[in-house]
Amino acid sequence: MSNKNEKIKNQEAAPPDANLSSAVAVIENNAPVMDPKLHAARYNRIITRAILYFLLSVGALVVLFPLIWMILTAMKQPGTAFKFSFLPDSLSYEGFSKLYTLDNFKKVFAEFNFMKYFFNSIIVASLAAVFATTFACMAGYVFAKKNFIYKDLLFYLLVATMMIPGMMYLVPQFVITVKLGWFDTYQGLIIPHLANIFGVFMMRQFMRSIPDSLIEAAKLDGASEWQIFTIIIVPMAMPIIVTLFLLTFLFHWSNFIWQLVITKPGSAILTIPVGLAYFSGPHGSEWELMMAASCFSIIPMAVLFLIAQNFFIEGMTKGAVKE
Amino acid sequence: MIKSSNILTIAVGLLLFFFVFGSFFCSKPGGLGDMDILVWASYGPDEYKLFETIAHRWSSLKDNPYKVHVAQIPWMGQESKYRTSLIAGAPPDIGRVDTPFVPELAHNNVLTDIKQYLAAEEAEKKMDTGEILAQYVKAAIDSCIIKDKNGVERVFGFPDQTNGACLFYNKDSFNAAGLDTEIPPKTWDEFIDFGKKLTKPVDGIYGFGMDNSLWWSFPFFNTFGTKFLSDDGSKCLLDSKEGIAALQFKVDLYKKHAIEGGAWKSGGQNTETGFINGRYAMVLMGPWNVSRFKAAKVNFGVSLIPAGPAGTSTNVGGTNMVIFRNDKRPAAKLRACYDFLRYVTSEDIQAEWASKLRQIPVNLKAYDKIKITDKEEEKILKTFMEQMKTAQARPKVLKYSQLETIINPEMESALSGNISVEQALKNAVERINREVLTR
Repeated sequence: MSNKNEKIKNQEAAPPDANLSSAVAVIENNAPVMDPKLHAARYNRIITRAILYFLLSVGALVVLFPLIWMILTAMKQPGTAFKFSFLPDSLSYEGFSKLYTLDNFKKVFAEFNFMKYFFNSIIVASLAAVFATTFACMAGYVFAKKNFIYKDLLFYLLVATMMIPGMMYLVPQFVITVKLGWFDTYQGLIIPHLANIFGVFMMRQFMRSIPDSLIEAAKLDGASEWQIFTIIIVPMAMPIIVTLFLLTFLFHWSNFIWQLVITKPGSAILTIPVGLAYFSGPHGSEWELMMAASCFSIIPMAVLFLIAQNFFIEGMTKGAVKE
Repeated sequence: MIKSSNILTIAVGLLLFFFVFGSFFCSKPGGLGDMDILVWASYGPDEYKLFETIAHRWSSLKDNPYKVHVAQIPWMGQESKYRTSLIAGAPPDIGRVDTPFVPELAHNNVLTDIKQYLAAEEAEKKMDTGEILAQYVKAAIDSCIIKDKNGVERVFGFPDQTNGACLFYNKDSFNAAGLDTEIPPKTWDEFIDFGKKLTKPVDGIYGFGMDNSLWWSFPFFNTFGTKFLSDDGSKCLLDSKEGIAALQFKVDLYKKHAIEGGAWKSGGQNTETGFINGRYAMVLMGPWNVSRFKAAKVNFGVSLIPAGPAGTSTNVGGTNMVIFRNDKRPAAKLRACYDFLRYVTSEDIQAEWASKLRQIPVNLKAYDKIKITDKEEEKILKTFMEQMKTAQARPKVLKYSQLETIINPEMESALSGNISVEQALKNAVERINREVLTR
């Protein structure tokens, strides 16, 4: 203990330059001689990484460009969307106000009932996504884990309907919906698209990878069919359920033609895709207003993807791997 | 923590709730009576506001028991909207439709022929037969007149909006090239001379930017005197010597004279963007872009399409107002629909429409009543009105879009130099005769 104290005293007594020079000497004496091959490898790694980051940055810029263009166009003065000028003449308020304005956002809310469209789209997309995912989940479980006569035949028949273009269903679906009295109602907007064969297919493929032994063990413990489904299957299939929810939500959020034909003009239940179409005419669109409305319309999708991105990535990849 | 079984129970409960009570949250279909006229209008915001005012004014006329209800529908997807409403048996009384859509609707027998009402009005006002139709821009009213299977001409509604292309030129580019900004080219020969002076490939500036769709090619075909269809409408005549000369001229603008900047190419800068950004000194453009170019601070002028061997002419676009057939509708209501359309297209209303929205009136009598304080804007509108006098209606075929689908790739092949102009038009004519005109 006394020796240690003495050392500290000596160090404190010694001039700072002496300490520094001795430390440098120690480092130099102990420094390993850099192997030229190692040096070249490190150099190559830095160069490779720099190129990689550069390419990724370019890729990110390309991916983000539409978003940046959308935001800048939303703030441009009316009629100037296609003028190639994004930087103001001078860095003053006047310079910016010549090129940019926030009036487009105000106009979208004040003159185009945007909040009404937004609210309707939230209702339609959320309910449709919840129910379509629920039904697909149940059907997927039955096709993956249950045995019944003509199961495979029925499944392939259902899958075969995916080959028919969606537009082919428009007229028959419209006629049935009108006959059911659902024209210009939320039911008409939501229910005809709840049977999602692609969703059933996704669920079935994923649920086949869940081991049967888990279900058998649950049965031995006395679990009912409903309990097996809700306690074992649903939690294990959560990545694919979230993925399907997001895809269905996205589909209904941007489903223009059905939402147009099944609603009355000027209806109280018009949705965002139909609302955005009012900005387009026979000879082009009011791009500044359309982009201002689009800035708001992407918010729910962006939030949903941010919240569920881990599930989404897992869901998109897990079904493809056979364990 | 909520169990997943509870979530599912809530979800199913919500579904049932909506299934039963959902319709309480939204508007009910129907609800219009015999004295109400429903109009579907696919106008832009400013046009819609004015149209609503006009409709309200008509509804308030003395001794008029009818009331017009205007519902705005988006332009995009409107054909699907009309088709499905017809399937459901609930079309509007009056609809605003794109002119190429009229033949299809007429062919499917879903429109009301207004000939009897025209005759009745002419008799009431002691007018000559055909005097009412003569009030309208010829190319525009032509799009409403369609022959039935027996060759009898029928009239389906009135044009409510008409437009066509004129030559737009950039005055700054003219100044830079030493050209007089008040004397634009009057003939295609002059146009080539102007184009050569304006073209500076090193600076990325070209004398002309050219679209290549059929509709945008009509100014060329028309000024060269090309007849598109035979009189009986059974044969396409586009490969005539006039048609070949017109397309050859287009090809030469790009290849031989090199004054066209490639606006027609996929990936090329389109005419509108190129004109705004000074890439193309001259473009063919319609009146809808005047306000856009002004907002973008482009210093431009508008003149007639340069004259070819057949003089100046242009294409025709626009919309018609048609009355949908409904056998349950009382005859008096049909007459009211007709009267409303006559009111909308009357000279006073058209003059008001043109003065406020800077659009070409469909009624020729309105031409002298337009009041625009801005002299420059008045000059531009008058140029368009003058051009419309020589405009030619596009061919009336069941599916106009098929013509575009067939001809456009052939014209592009000719422009690219892959095939000769003669071969391109021959290919197009063969397919049109086989696939379009046999229907």
